[in-house]
Amino acid sequence: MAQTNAEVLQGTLDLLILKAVSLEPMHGWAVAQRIREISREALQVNQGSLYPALHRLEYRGWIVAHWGVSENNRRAKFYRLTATGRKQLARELVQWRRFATGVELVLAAE
Amino acid sequence: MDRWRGLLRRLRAVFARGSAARELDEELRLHVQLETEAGVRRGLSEGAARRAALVAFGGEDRFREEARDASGLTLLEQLGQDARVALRMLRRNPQFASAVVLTLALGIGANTAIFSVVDAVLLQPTPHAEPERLVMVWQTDRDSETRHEPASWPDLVDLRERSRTLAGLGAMSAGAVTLIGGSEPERVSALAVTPDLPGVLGVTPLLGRTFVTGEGAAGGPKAALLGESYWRRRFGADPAVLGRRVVLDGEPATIVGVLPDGADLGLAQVHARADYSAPMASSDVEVWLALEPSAEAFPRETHPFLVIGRLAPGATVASAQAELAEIMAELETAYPENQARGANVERYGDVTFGGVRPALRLLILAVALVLLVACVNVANLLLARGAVRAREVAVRRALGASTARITRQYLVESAVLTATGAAVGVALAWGGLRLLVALAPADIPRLTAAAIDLRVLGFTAAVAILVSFAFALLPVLHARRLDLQSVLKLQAGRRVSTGRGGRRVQRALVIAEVALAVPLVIGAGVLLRSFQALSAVDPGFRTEQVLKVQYQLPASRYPMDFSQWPNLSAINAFHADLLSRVRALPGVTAATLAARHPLDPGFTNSFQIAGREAESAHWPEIRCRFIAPGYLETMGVRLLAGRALAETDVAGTTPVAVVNRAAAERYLAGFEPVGQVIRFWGVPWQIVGVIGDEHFNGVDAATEPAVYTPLAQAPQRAAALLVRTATAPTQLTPAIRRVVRELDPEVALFGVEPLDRTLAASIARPRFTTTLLALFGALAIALALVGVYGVLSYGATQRTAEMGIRMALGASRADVVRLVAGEGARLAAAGAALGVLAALAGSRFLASLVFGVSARDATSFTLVTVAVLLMAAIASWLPARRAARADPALALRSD
Repeated sequence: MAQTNAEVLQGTLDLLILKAVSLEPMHGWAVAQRIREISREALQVNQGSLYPALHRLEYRGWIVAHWGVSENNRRAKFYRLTATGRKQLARELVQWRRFATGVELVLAAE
Repeated sequence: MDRWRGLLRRLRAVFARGSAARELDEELRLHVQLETEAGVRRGLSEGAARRAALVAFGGEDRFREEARDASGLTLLEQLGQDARVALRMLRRNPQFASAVVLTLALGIGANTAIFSVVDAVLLQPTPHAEPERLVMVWQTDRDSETRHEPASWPDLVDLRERSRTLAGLGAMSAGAVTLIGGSEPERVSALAVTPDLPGVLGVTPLLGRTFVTGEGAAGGPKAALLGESYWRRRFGADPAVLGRRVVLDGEPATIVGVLPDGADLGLAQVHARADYSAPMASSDVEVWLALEPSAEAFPRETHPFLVIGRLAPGATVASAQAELAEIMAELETAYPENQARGANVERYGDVTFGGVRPALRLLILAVALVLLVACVNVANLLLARGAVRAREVAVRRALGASTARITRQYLVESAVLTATGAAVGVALAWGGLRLLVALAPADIPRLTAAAIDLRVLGFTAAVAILVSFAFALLPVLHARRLDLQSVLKLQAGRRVSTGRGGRRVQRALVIAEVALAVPLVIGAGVLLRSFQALSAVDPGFRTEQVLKVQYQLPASRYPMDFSQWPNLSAINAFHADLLSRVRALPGVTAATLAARHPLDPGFTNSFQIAGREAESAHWPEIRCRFIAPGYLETMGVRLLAGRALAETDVAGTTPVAVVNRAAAERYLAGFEPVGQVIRFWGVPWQIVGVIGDEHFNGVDAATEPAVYTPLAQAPQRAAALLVRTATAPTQLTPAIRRVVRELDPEVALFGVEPLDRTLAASIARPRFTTTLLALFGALAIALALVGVYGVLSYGATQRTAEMGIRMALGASRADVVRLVAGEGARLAAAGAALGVLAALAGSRFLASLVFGVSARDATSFTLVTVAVLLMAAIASWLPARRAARADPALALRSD
């Protein structure tokens, strides 16, 4: 199973995290899980890069963290999108779509 | 807004480092836990799921560091953390840490202390205005080949009138006066100066004014200036001292001003340099008097005045020399008294500092070498340690720590080391400076003003810190080149070698250390042998168990009535009474008097030998000394021919004299000295004996010809009582003070000390230089030997496996010892060879400081080289023996 998973593309991890936590506040493991589920197991977040990315985004002020209680009543750190994070997400989405469209056009050429 | 929040979070992260780290740990733990549970849900066993979770997690170390880097646990926090790690590391390696700290501290401390002295003595501006324009104007005598004679009063007047190259020309004459201004009479050091001399020197009074013309003339109003220190000490820095009347040697005088300390800078050195001049009693002038002698009292043939000039604008020492030589030539043709006399112009600063410059230059060189050796040693220590840590670096890099991160940590570690070293160095410099000032001879100008020089401290600390930083970085740079895999494959505990390049650097450093230290030790050896030669000189008199007490009879009640001379009953009676009473004191085995104590050269006079007047006219002046009966016995001076001066040689009987061996050989060779007549002061003195040479002008100088006459036939108001005692000399001081007080309470005593202390003080400067150089030499060689030992024992440990293989293949333990120690011997020999060459090249720094040995003294060179090689052999043998003791089997397995 793991072999068929694609590593998340460099640079897209931030976008994916922002998107994931924009749906609802969630803790680190849930972020990884959500990305894997939504992508139907196609995208595998390297967990070693997940937390550095979370902390980096928090440091930039795009997400904030607070301690809450997880689904099975455990203390967990939940991340949620801030206003600037939302703007950033919008910017990155636009950029990504332009990029993806470009790539698609090139690959579709006869 | 968000930026503020980010900053706040950052700050919180720094101050709440502990809680941030805990939160991160908790977050990560939860992740692994949830991942494990997910694995179990997928059907894995608990253990397998946990392992999979951990594997998926990746390098924990790298992960943590990245997460922390990202979360704003920034530079500041990491520096603090690095410092804590560094301290922990150093605590775990106390030997390494203390070696580095001590080495740095010694280098920094010694340099700062010596440079602070040099700064205070040589580099600080002098209190004189435009000091570079000040010159000494000496007289020369072609007949006696003297070049530093004082001048006559009429010569000074003529020079003043005719010279265009000198803007000012003043004169001075040192002495001591008894000052009565309060309860007790006090003997103070005094300097009589022409009223214009303060202006020529360019000193401004702290208080009041300097002299005006007329204040030094006979019968005029007498004025006096006080030296600042004396004013503070004696008058409590009271400004109301101006206008106060005091009695100086029986004459009333008014205090008109206070001159700042340092106004007398160089005057003691001028006196010491002069031929035929008594040295100043103290280098600090306590009272300044005005000097306006009459040509009648001081005719052209007497030369008592030291002349200081100030170059006119545009004039140079050379142009002044040329002009004054011309004027002196004119005076020579005009006056028969000036026959053979010329001028010698010398820069004043050269006279002031000429004596200490060579010694201080040598000491600067020495401490600079010590600093270099210290830096090399620190470099070596760090290098050896760096090799040990190469593996640590490789492992940390493999775990994901960035090079920048590791570099930073090593720099912090190095900073902690050097900061500690510098701090200890400051303490050493502070203590060392106190020690230097205490140890130093009294004749070094301005030494007491020495204070820790912050610029020098900063400079030396910066050098040391730069060196240690540079070498702290080596392991990191080195590790970048290392093949990570091969390093990591090594068993834990195995050291990684510094590599061929590193070893080469280490060997070069060891050679450099030895090469730097050897010249120092050789220099110290030469000075030690020189000092030994100096101490071995028989001064011609015996100083042990002798107490010296100097005194001065006040002029008021002990007049010098020249119409009655030499029958000056008051003076002669005091001397005789004092001597007989002191001789009667219990504990006194012998006692005598002399106008000057045996280490005070006193003054000189021109003289003639009866029947050889024409010849005598070209002779230099002769030292004139005045002694009481019993002098030879008390001082242990040998009688070589004829008889000694006796109790019966008093005023009224035939004037008699004895001459020393130098005088007999110089002026009476080929004659029978006893029976000759020597004439000075218009008195024909019949020579009754020849005595041994006393080194009254210092043990390092050849004894000058001298004539001794009875004190009773040439009365002096100043005298030194010399008492040979059965017990410790100072025990008699109270009894002698009592005797003097009973005879006359107004007589001031001074210079009360055991004579061997006076002798020791006379060679204080060479002792000072020798002691310091020996200290620095020992320091440098000790550091160098630590270097040899350190590098070899490190190398031996590294080659444990090689030694095992060698021994397994049949090498004996002796072979191994030879192998390891041989390397040390080769390094030390190479260093010593370079060091000897450097010492030969640097021997000129010693040339002016040695006595009785050559600056390239073969004995010192040989002994030191052999000793250094021997010590290096021991330093090499210890690690070699350890290498040879290793069990071959164990050695092989340990790899």
